[in-house]
Amino acid sequence: MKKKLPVIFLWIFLLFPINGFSKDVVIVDALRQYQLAQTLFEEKDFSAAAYEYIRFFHLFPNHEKVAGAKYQTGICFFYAGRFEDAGRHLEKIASDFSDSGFAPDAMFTLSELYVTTDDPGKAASVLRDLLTLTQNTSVHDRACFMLGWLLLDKADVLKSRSDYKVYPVREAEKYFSMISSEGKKKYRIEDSMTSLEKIRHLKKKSPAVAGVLSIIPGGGFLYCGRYRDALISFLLNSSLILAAYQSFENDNNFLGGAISFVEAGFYTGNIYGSVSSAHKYNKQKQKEFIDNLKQEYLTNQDKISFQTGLINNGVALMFKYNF
Amino acid sequence: MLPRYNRCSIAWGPIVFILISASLVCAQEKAQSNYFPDVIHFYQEYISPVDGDRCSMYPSCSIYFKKSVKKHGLLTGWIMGLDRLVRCGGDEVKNSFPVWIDGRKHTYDPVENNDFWWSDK
Repeated sequence: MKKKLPVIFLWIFLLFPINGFSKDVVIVDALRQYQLAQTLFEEKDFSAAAYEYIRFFHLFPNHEKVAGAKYQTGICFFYAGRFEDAGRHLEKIASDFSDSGFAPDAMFTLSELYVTTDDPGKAASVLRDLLTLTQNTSVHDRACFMLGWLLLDKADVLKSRSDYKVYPVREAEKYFSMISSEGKKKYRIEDSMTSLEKIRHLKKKSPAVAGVLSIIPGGGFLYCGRYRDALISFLLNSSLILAAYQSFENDNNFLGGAISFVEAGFYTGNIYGSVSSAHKYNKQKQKEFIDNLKQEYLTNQDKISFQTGLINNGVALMFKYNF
Repeated sequence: MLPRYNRCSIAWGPIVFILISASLVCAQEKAQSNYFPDVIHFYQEYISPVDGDRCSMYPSCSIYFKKSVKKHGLLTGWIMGLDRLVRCGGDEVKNSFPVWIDGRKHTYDPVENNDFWWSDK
């Protein structure tokens, strides 16, 4: 009996803690885990929410809300400013859950992400992919609408980068016209489309004419309305030409040659600057036109907001529209 | 009396002339496109502090020169740089947006704003 006593005590000692802990054991079911993630999301603790969503689809891989959780993970990373992680998750949703309702939303968010990270070329490419994939008219219209504004808004950036060869404003017109008649009414885009046609009639400066006029130094600048540049260019070039001429006249050939060399640079620079000025003038005019168009649209359509935000435990992406 | 910034442009002419002449003489053994930024560096290091910080553009004309040569090679960079000297403090001031550096207003005019119509770089 004496030998058995310690064994009995040991058993009692081991059993008590089990009884003591048994009340604290929590069984996490799928719903509770998802709710925790949602709560953190609503509290805007996006990093924590992202990890709870990840825990959810890791623990319950066959649950019906897995697609939603994965989509929300991407959104959370996006809001938390972790764009690389967000992009990875959203791309996965678009490819692995293409049949779910989350794929279009994931692609819309992905395009917004690329705009945020200053890559409008990729943003446009994602929206174009969505257009080829979707058969849903509402999604199609929304993609055309967003793509049209994106191309207008970032026309300069897109045009100046090698990943984009087509003239963006023309393509924007094309996408606006692809919106169904119902969509055009919904987005009230008809007025903007009519205004956009005026872009063809913008008064532009011809770079070729500017180049030809700059044969007389400053002529090209004058044509582009750059009067000070024209005057400086004319005075500088004519002074250097005169100086070179005088040097050769006085048999100072080395000085004449050196001045001619520098003058050749300034003269070519004058031609380059004139052509460049014409391009800059046209770019500026187009930018002003698009800015006015956007402002006009937003003033008239104050119901549309190009923001992201939370609505009823969900996410409103790219823009909100209040009927 | 020419405005202060125009004087900057005109003053650059002889300076550039001296620097380029020197670079052409000295750069025979070295590729010119590599050597040219060194000449600009010489200007920035030894001449500009004496001459004073007078360029109204951002980046300054010397940095612009250096960048354009690095980006497009000696010939095109040389042409772009001289074009910039002519435009420095001129009409670009009213056409480009301003930036404030050390409490002083500058006109933002990087190389990309002047080669966007032909360069994909």
